[in-house]
Amino acid sequence: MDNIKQRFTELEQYALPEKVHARIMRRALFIKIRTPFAIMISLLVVNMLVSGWRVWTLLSEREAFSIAKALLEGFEVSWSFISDVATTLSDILPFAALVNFFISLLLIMYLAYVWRKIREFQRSNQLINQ
Amino acid sequence: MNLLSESEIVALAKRGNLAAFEQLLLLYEKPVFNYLLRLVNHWQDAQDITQETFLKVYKNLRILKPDTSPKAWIFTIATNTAYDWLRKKRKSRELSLGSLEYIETIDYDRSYKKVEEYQQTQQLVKVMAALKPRYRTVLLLYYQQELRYGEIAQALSLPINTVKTCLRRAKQALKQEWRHYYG
Repeated sequence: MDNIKQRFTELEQYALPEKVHARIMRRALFIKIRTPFAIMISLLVVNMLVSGWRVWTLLSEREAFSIAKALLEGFEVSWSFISDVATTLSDILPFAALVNFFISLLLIMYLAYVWRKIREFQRSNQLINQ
Repeated sequence: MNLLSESEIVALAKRGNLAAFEQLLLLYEKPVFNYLLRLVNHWQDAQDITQETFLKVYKNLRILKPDTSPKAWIFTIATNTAYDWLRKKRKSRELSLGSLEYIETIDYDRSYKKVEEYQQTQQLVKVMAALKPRYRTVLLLYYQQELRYGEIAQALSLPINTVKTCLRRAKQALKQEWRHYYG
């Protein structure tokens, strides 16, 4: 055991397996997108809640529920009834707020699905390498 | 990107640039992996600790001070992560100093000289495995990674004189173990 340094330099050097390099980069990417993703979903949830509350308030103000009840009570299969329902709905429904609400809801559902897929991908990679 | 200096790569990576982080990874993944491999003596665990080390590096890059050596800082994280792993292993009683699972089998076509070199290497690995983790750390950082005393002191959060003393004792312990195994 004379030359310690030489012994150490003779130790074989191994390259890090490529799969580990790729795994590190994937997880780093996940860490990078995690915060913006969470902020985006939070903003969409807030937007959905606000537009939902706005829809509810407008429907209450316009007494939409009692009108809908009256329309159902006078239900009959005729063109005049259908025309009445269409006119009433266009008067009482806040379309802009409703569209906003449903778009937010769809985006949240889509992002939640994407997030779940990313998590599953991360987990499957961890399991493969265990 | 390859034309950038290490400090420029670190500066870009600190701003969240993933390409710069990958350059940093390419620069240090091999030394860190080999250091951890000799420190924990386990192929799969060395891979996992390397992964954890670089994820910690990525998460904490922002707090890396400009006057700190990135190499010493990365080895600090690698050492601490490995020590945590060793502690967990000790708790679960899985730690076996003789579990040199990464040792490859010798091919039949290896020349006599290669076999001899290989055996000498494995002798060192075996003796190293018998040392205290702190001694192994100091020896690997000094001889394998060629870190200076100041960098080792930074990596282990120790005063330089303590590092020198520790290295001296580690060398003595290594020689003693060598004599114990191989006369």
